[in-house]
Amino acid sequence: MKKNIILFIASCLIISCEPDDICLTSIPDTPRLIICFFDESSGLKKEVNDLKIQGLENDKFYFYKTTDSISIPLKNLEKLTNYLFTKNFDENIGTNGNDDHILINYQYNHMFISRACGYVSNYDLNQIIIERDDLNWITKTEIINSEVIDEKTVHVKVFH
Amino acid sequence: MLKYFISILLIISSLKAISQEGKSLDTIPIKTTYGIKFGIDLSKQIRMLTEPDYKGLVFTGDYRILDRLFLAAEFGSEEKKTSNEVLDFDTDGTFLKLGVNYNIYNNQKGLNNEIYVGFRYGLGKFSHKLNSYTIYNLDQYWNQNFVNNSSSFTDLNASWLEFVLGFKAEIINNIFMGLDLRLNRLISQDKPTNFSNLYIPGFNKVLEENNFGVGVSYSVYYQIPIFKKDKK
Repeated sequence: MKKNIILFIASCLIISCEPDDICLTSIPDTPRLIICFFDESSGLKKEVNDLKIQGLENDKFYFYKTTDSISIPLKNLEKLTNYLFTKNFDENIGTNGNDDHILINYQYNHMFISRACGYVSNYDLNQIIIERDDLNWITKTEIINSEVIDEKTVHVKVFH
Repeated sequence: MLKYFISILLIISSLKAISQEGKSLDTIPIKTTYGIKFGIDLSKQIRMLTEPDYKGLVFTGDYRILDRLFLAAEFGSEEKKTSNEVLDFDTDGTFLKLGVNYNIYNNQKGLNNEIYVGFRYGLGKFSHKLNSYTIYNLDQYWNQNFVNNSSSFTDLNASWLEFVLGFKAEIINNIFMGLDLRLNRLISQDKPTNFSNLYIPGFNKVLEENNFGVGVSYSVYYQIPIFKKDKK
């Protein structure tokens, strides 16, 4: 009898100790690159009209809106992510507006989080290049925070 | 797990009943055997049948030093693949556990059964091989979240304490069967760089929120009797 009681208690312990292997939403995921747009002469925040963001080699838009700041994802397995930033884009016409090709060069680090969440990616920005074309609307870029470890601060300023 | 646990329990209790029937004859000399027991932890073999990505071999033994006190030791090796939605890794390693068991059961004359509490100090040496992992990224735009390059984390050590609660029954002369349950607590571990010891051979699954773990063993022993002593 005593044996049975002891075993019963012990078996309850065994089954109740299993944790939930769930990645909680309170844990931040891989950060995106935060870019803010500024006026090239005044240095104040300035919206970009009808901005379309699309990754090069990607069929889908990332988004399309008028805004003064964006957050965009970087590739986790390549050290270079290419985007086309198109200003004054009209989705009814299709190919139009002024598009600038932006190259983001960085180091990526995969950081272990937990059994349930796996890893997140952090980035160390090296360089941002605007490909020269006949009509660049972006005049200058500036990396103000090269460590992309969260989405709390602005990483890159873009002047136009 | 519980399903096997219950069936083993039933088998053992029935065996014990049989053995007790055989011994219920009134044997006069009240002597009790002091000996050394060697055994194998069959729970690992049972686990190998149910978990295809697990391999384990554990030897166990004890030596009676006092009427109720036994020195106990276990050593073995385990290999285990852990895979969930985000991680896939293999762990393998060896371990040694040393400790004591204290028999709290008052045996009838001539019987050598045990219900015991005890503890073990465990030491493990192991390595992990991470095969693939997923990057936690709610943004699926680039779809580059699955990483398939493997990395190894070798020469890792851990130590832990186990609280043991179990019983052993002598089913035939000098052959024992035993079942025990363990509550483990990690004392120290080498943390691998940019990974974690989510499984430690000998310790079992490691929880991230606390240092406790659980284990079970089901062993068969052969006892080499060394001498007999009058029971007080």
